[in-house]
Amino acid sequence: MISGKYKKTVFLLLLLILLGTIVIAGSLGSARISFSDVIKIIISPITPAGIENNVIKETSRIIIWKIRLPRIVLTVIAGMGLGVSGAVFQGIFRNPMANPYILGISSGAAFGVTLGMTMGLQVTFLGIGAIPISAFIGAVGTSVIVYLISGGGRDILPLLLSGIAIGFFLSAMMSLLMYFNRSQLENIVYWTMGSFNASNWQKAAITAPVILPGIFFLIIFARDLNLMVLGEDSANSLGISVRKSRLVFLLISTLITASAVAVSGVIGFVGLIVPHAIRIITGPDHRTLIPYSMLGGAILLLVSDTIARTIIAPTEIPVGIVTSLLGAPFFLFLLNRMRHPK
Amino acid sequence: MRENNVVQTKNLDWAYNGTKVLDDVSITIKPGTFTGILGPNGAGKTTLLKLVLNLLDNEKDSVLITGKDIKTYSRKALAKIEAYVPQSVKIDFNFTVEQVVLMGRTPFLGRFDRESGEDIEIAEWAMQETGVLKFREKLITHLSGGELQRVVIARALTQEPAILALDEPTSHLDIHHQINILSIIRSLAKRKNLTILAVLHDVNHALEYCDNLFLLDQGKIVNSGSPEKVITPGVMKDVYNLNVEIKKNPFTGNLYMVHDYT
Amino acid sequence: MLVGKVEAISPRSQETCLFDITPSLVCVEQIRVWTNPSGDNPYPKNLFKGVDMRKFLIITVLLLSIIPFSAFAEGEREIQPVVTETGITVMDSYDRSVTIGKAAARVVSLAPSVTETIFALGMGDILRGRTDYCDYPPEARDVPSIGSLREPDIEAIAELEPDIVIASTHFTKESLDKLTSLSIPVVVLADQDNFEGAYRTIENIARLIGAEREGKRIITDMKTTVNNVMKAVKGKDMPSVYYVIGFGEYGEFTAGGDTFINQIIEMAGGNNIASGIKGWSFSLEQIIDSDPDILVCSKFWNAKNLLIETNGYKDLRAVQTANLFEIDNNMLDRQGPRLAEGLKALAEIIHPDAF
Repeated sequence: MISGKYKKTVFLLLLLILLGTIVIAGSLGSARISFSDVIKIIISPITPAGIENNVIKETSRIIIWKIRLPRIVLTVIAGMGLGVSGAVFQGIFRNPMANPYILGISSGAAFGVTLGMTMGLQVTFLGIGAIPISAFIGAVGTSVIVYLISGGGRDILPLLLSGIAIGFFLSAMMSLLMYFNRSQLENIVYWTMGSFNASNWQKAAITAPVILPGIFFLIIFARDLNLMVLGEDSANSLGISVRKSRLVFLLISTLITASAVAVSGVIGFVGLIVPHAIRIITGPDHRTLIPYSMLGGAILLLVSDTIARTIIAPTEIPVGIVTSLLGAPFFLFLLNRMRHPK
Repeated sequence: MRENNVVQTKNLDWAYNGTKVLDDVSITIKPGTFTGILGPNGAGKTTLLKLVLNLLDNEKDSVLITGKDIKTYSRKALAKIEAYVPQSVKIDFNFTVEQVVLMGRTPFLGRFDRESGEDIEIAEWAMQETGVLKFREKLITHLSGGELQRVVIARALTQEPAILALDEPTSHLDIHHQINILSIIRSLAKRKNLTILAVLHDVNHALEYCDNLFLLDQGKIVNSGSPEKVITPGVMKDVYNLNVEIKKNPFTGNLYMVHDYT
Repeated sequence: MLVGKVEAISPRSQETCLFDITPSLVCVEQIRVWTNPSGDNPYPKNLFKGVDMRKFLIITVLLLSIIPFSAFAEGEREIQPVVTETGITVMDSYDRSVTIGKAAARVVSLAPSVTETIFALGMGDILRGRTDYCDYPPEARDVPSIGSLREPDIEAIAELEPDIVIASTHFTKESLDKLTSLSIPVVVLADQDNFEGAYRTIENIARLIGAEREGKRIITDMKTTVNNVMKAVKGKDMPSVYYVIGFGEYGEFTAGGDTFINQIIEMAGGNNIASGIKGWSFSLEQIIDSDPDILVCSKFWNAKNLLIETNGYKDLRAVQTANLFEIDNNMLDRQGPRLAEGLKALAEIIHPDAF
C-alpha cells in the first residue's frame, strides 16, 4: 500500500493513462487513420475552421465520430460503472472476491435478452432497441426479486443464497428457451459473451446519465462502506443505518451494472479484478478505492475492447472473452498471493 | 444529564424465533459507574447489551437512555453517546490500525468532512491509552487477536462516548493486558465520568473492577447490586453449580473468588 | 460374399467429416475396414502412413461404393454406375450412387433450390413435400411442409411414400441415416458454388423425374442469360460494390473473396470491396473506409429502411446518394434455376445503362 501523499499522484497517473488509451484506441481499427489525424479530428469542434480540416478524409471523420468515438466513450462509461460497482459489491458483502453479478444481474439480463429474442420483440425506446431494453429489465427485475425474497436485505447471507438460487433457475429457463428456438441460439450466445460492436451515441447518451451520477453518489457515500466492512453491529453503533445504506448502495450499483450490461452484454472480471488491484495499491479506504476503481475499470475495459476489435480485424472477438482471458490468470495470481503473502 | 440514570431498561423482553432470551429485565445504571453483567453462556448477556445499544429492532419502549426512549435518538446522535466493543471482530480488509481507530470519529463528521487534526489527536490519545499507538501503521489483518481487541477498544474510545458498552473485552488478552485495559477503563470512568457497561466472563474481574453487578441466568436477573452482594457462595452454587469461597485480595483490598475444581 | 461396412474416421467428429459441405468428400485420415461382423481390424493402425491420403481415399471410397450399402439401407438396391433402361442412376454429392427404377412420381424436396427446380421443370404436381423455407414459386406453399432443412420430420416424409427425397446443403447425416434406415431413397445434391454445379444439379433432378428435355432447355436459357450479361458489362468501369448480408447488433456480414456471391458480383461487372477477405465477417470501419459506390441489400426483412437508419451506414456516400439497392437475395442464395436471373438483376443494378 502506498502512503497518502502519493495517492494524488497515482490518481493523476491513472487519469493520464486513461486519456492516452483513449487517443491510442481512437487511432486503432480496421481503417488506417494516423495518430495526428485522430487528434485533429477529435479537437476539430473546438479549433477554428481552417486548412487542416480539408486535408482529412471525410470517411476518416465519419469513422472517428460515428464508429470509434461513441464506442470508446461507451466503453469508458461502462468500464467506470463496472469498476465502481465491483468495489461496492465487495464492500457490501465484506468479501474481496465478490463481483457485481452475484445477485443475479447477469443471469437476469441474459434471460431477458433470450426472452426478448425468442418472442421477437421489436420495441424501441429513445433510439435503443429491444435487446438492451430486455437486458436492463431482466437485470433490474432479477435484482429486485432477489432482494425481496431474501427478506429485504436484512442479512447478507440470504441475499447471496437467493442470488445463487435465482441465477440457477434463470439459467435453466434460458437454456430451455434456447433449446426450443435454435435459430436464435447463435445470437443469444454472442450477446452473452459481451461486445461493444453496436455502439452508438444514443447508447452512450442513455447510459451516461445513469452511470455517471450513480458513481458520483457512491463516491459521496463511500465512507459508509468503510464502516460496513467492520461488521453490521459495529457500523450501526458508529452511527450509520446499515440496512438503509446497504439498500442505497445495492440500488445504485445495480442500476449502474444493469445499464452497462444492457449496452454491452455480460463482461466479467472487470468488476472483480479492478477493485482488487486498486486495493493492493491504495488500500481499502473506499473514499479512494471507488474513484480509482472508476479509472481502473475504464482503462481495463478500453484496453480489452481495443484488443478485441483489432487483434484479428476485421473479425471481432467478443470483449467478454478478452477480459476473461486477461482476468483468469490475474485472478489466479491474486489467489496465490493470498495464500502465500510476502 | 437530566436523569440520574443514564441507562435504564423497563421490563425488557426479547425472543429469537420464539425462544425467550430475556425475560422481564429491568436494570438501571448510574452515570460514571462501572457495571458488570455476568452469567452462564446463553444467559442473554450479549442480547441485553445489543438492546441497550439499539442494535436490535425493539418496538417496545423498554430501553431508555438518559431518560428518553432509545428510539428517539437518531443513529448518529446515539453514536455520539454510546460506543460498542463487540465480542469478536473479523475484518478481511487490510485497513491500518489508525484507519480503524479513526472510524470512531465518523459520528462527528459531516457528509463531506474529512478527519481533522483534532480528530487525529483524539485517535492518537485513544491508541496511546490502549497501547496500540506504536503499531498505528500496521495492517489489522496482521494483528493478533489481543492486539485487534485493543484496537477496537481504542476505536470506541475515539467516539468520546458517555456510555461504553463492552462485550467480554478481555477474552483474547493476556493477563497483563487484561489488567491494563480494565484499569484504564475504570480510570476513564472516574476521570471522564464515563459510564461503563461490560459483559465479563471472569468473575474475579467483576469483583475487582465493578461498582455494580447484574447476574443473568436464562434471561432473568437473578441478582443485582454491589459485587459482594451478588457474588456469594450460595449464588455461585445455584447459578454455576460451583463451590466457592470469597476472600479478600491482599494486594487491592477488594474481594476475589476461589473455587473448587470438581 | 462380402459383408462389409465402411466407416470413415477423422480427427473431427464423424458427423462433420462424412457430411462436410466441401465438395471433396475427404477429411479422413484413416479408414478402417472390417471384413467380418465381429469387428476385428485386419489392418494395423499405421498402414496408411506416408501414403498420399486424399488420392488413396477417393479411389478407395469409389471402389468400395460397389459394395452393397447394407449398412446404410436395408432392402435390395442394385447399384450400377451405368444408366440402363430399367433404372435411373445419379451420383450424388457424397459419391453415393443412387438408382431408382423409373422416373420419380412422388418427390419430397428438402431444399428451396430443389423445390424451385422442380416447379421450373413444370413438374410441380409430383412434389409431395417441401421445407418451411420453400416459398417460390407461390404454388409451392400449397405443398405440405415437412419441417426445416436441418431437422425435417422423418415420419412425415415416410408417410408421403416418396419415390425419391432430394436434399441439398444443410442436410444432416442424422437425417440421412434415419431416412435410409426406412428404405427411403435419398439423393443429396449439395451446392457447388459455381454455375456449372448448378447446371449439373438441375440436370440430375430433371433425370430423376423424367424431364430431361425441359431440364436441358432451362440450362440453355440460363447459359444464354449469363453470356448476355457478361457481354453487356464487358469492358465497362467496375463500380465498387458492397453486398449486405448482415448488419447491426451482431456484426457486419458480407460475401468474402472465396464465396460464390463474390464471383457473381464480379461477373455482373462489379468490384466487391470485401474480395480481400475470406469468409463472411467484415467491419463497419472497412465499409466506410472503402467508400463503396453501390450498396446492395435484401429486399426482405425491411433491410433497406433499417440500413438507412443504422449508425455508420447512414453516413455512407452510397446511401446518401440513393445508391442503396434491393435485390431478391433468394435468387443468388439458392443455387437453382433463378441463379442467372439473379446475376442479371445484380448486373442491372451495377450497370443500369447496359440494359
